[in-house]
Amino acid sequence: MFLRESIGRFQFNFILNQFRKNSDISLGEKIKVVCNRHFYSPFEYLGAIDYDERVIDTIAAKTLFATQHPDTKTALDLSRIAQRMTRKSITPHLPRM
Amino acid sequence: MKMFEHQTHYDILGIPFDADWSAVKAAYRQALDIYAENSLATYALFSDEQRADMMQAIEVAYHTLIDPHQRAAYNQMLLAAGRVETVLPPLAFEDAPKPSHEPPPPPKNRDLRVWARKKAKEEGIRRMIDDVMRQDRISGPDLKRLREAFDIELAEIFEQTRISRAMLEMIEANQFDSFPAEVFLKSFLKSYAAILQIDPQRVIEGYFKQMSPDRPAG
Repeated sequence: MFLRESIGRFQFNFILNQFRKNSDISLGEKIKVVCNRHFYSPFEYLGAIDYDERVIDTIAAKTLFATQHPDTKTALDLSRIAQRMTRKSITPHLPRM
Repeated sequence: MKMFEHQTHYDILGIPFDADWSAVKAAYRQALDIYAENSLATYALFSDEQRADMMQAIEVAYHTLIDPHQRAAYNQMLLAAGRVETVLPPLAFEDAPKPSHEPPPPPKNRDLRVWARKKAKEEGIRRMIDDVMRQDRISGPDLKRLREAFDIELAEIFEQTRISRAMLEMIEANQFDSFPAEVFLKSFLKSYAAILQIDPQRVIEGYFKQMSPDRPAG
């Protein structure tokens, strides 16, 4: 019970990374429903980041993907999720995931 | 992990007590989708036995809540057991079509493009189109406003373009998080614009511009 209550104080935010074009676009919302229904903590879905094969190149080159390819869907996704994260008001002392 | 054992039928389907028949159906379809054996959302979470139990609970919940008599009896049982304080009657339950399976309204029987061409010549609509097309950024609600001025249903656009109703609703609601790959979105916007007799390229540029305020349209 103690563990359950302790876990219940966490607020989990999650994303779907390397999201493929042919994936179910409602997958994130479905996972959110399942997690909120079956686990003991609140979950929030922040969005999906589109798969782009050039990401690996920018990592290897130690550059930022979002600045190298700002017009890609992936960069837009990253920007949107970052905006959501900064807009969200999460109680400061709670751990973020 | 919380399972379904102590949940009411309403909890299992994730609907309020006053959910009408269409909400019950929609929730049932969503639950089947989520808990199906091959569902990406749950395939690693539950054992086969747990999944079978949950699917059975979903079936029981659905068949109870979709039937007005069974639902009334179930509500009485919840009240008597003290599990709820009050249960509102379902909204518009009496109006539910008996075994009909298609809640969205049927498309009107007309040639959509001919109809749209005719409507586009009307002064008020012409002015509305000009206003929207002059905008630097074109939003989903702008497109929805135009569509409604044309008196065109989403179901009709679906019939013509095969773009799903859910996707059309997302485009009109600016639900960027759920959008498909850019190339598909452009194709959808192009088809949508063609039906409304407006410049597809201008719509794509304006829509993408408002999706990302800091980037140039492209």
